[in-house]
Amino acid sequence: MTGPDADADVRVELGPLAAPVLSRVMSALAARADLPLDRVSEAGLLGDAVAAHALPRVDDGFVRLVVSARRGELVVRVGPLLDGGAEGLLRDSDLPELGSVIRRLSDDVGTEEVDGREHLVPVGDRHRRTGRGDGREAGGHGLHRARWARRHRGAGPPLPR
Amino acid sequence: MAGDEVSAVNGGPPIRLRVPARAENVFVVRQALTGLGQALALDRAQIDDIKIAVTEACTNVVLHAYRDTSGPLEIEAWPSDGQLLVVVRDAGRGITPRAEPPTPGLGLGMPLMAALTEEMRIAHGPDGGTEVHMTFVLVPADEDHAG
Repeated sequence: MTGPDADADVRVELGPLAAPVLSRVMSALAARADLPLDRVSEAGLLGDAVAAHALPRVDDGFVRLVVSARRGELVVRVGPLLDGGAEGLLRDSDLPELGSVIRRLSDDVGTEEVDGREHLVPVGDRHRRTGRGDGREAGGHGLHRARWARRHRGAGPPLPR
Repeated sequence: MAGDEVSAVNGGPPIRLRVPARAENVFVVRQALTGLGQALALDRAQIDDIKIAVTEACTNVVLHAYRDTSGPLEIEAWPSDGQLLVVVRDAGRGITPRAEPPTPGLGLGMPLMAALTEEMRIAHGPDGGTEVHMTFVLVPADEDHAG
């Protein structure tokens, strides 16, 4: 997914405009991707979280989101970030008892290197979670529960047996 | 805030949104403008005016810029000094004296954009397409009526 092939490519100055714009664009694209209503709302929160925490992780005061919104899946490439910025962005969005908000709002989180620059790639997928009671309160997201547990061992609520 | 706290820095426009020039993406543009208007604490009626004018420009891109092909629709927003400049850009066929063949529209788009903006200018884009520059004088929301 490159810029010209994306469903949206948005670049915003990290200041007071960023959160309102990113959250609305992300929600609109999540709806376009045919995600369920709660996930549409969460996509907006993801935009908020990126806007709130990205500034120390970029080198020019701007963040760029390249988004693919297709067939029940929302793939977001956030960057370019400074070295270690992807992990830092996840860490900076930590909340007590909750862990990384960005990770919590995503079904998958990866990193990619594009043109030698690091990008964080959160993914929303309507098929990976079955409902709010499935792992969310327990501090994990379905397939990524184990990873969440490794990363936040001791910091979050206990995992379900 | 009404625009004076946001600076257009050297790195480019404070907001740039690029989407494929398809009808469904005009909605995404409108959502971005709603967020921008709220961030700038604009009067609700002015947010609507900005959305209407920019929607008209985007609709022109979707309908006329790319004949039998696809291409980008790009929006830039530059709020500063109590004004908001919005640029709607395509990389399509560029400006033609008259649409060929005639389109079914009422031909109200351009007059509407002109009426809703402080200034409107149409130019050739850097990639051979068209740019519509629209300037709005920002009106902060009256708290008594902001709802």
